[in-house]
Amino acid sequence: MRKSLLFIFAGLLTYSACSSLTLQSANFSWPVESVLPVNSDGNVVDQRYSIEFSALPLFFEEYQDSSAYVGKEVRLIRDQQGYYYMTANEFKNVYVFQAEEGKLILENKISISETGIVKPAFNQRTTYIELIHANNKSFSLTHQGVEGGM
Amino acid sequence: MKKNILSCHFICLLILAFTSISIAQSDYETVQKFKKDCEKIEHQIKNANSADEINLITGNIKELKSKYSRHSELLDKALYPEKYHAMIENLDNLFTLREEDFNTVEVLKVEVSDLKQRVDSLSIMNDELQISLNEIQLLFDKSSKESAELNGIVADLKTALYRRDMLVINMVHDLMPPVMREKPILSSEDKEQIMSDIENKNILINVKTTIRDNVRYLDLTSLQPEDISELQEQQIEFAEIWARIGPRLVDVYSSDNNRVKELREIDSLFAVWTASVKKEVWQSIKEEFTEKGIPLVDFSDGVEFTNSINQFIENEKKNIDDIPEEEAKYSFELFVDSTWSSEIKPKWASFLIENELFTENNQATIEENIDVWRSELYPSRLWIWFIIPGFLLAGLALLLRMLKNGAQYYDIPGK
Repeated sequence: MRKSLLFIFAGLLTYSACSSLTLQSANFSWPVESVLPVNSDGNVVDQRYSIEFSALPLFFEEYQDSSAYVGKEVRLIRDQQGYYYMTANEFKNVYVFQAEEGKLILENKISISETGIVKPAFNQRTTYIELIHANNKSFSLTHQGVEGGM
Repeated sequence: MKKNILSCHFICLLILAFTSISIAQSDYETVQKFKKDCEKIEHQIKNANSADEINLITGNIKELKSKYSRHSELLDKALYPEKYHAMIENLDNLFTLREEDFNTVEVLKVEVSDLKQRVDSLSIMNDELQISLNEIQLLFDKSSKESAELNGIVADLKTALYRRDMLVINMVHDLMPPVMREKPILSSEDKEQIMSDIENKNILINVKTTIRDNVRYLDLTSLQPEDISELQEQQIEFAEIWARIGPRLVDVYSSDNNRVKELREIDSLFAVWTASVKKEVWQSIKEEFTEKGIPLVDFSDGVEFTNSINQFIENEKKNIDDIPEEEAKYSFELFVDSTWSSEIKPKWASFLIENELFTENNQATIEENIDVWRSELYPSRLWIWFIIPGFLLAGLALLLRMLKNGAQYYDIPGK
């Protein structure tokens, strides 16, 4: 019995030592999207939010052509939970990424239009990200997909 | 009824579509448009060229506010570190500053306009003055010219008169040569010859005209002693010749009463001429005093002249106590230094005395009066030079007396 209690106490100590500190109710949302040109190296830089990444894989994923980035702009917004939403003019999809150490990992690829989204724009909304495009059609997006389905 | 319901539905759909359009707007675009609009207005404010242009921008700012006020929350976040209200305030401040600039410019414009008007009016005035000046200059030139012309005319007149005088004198002289003049009784041939010459050459008329013209010349001109001397010499010469010839002509024309009358007239004209020369002397002297601003009672001979001056001096002496000293002294200096001693005496005194128009006694009387006048204005302090040595001597005597008395006091008795 004594041995059992000792193990339980040691186990609790180990658990408490291993669990990280968590700050709740974090809001990562950007008030407005960033429209960022892709530079000659294929990189995208946002001075305001201090974020930089290579957009080559994104364009390769969309067009299967890593040189398709030339002269393009990436529209980028972050939601309350910290997911990054990316798209560009005439993309068919919205890409949702999650930040990790030195990289952005694709969380979701939300298909929007088979013909490509014309003049897309993200708006920050309280619980979702609004995507609008040229024909004024809007979509409410979360990292899981389109709210209410397509 | 069904139709109405359908149309209502259609309108509702339209409203919804419009609402969706207005909702489906990119926040990014809104922010960018706001920035662009702000920049545009800022540019307009900076580039406004007039108060009217700046006033038009007020409407643009109002429109900007009404258009974006509902996005203020979004803009506050998106514009970080800027703020919507701060940006609007910046525009307002910029507008106010620029408006003040224009108001100042307007005020300055008004001032400039006012100054320009004043400059214009001054220019006009200046032009008018210039014209007046030119006119005055012209008048002055004309006057100078006229004066020069007049002087020339006077000189020509004098020369012409002199020439004619000489001609007439010669005519009269030739009328009766000295040989004929010495004859106690003229022969009938002589008389006829003389009468013929007189009639042919209009000698009597010429003599009268010459004398009258000389008198008129004296009346019209103001002459200097040398001119008068010259005229006087001429007049005396002419008068002397006439004095010798005139009585003989009376004899020649003894049977012609009209001619005799004419000859008497010429005699009286010579008297007038002589008087005119004398009158001219006094008139010229009087004018010299008048030019200096010294009012003298009219005079026409030496006695009257002396009396006139003495009367003036007496009046001035009487006024010494009634007028300021400076004024009295100025009057004295004007009369004595600037007129009598520097002009009249050197110029006229000897002429007057030589021509027996004035005596040395007259001059002495005037000089004495001037001395009295001077002594009253500038009292002598000569008595001081007698009084001071007197006092000094008296003091010295007293001192010596006291010293003597003192020496007696210290004498030792018995020694």
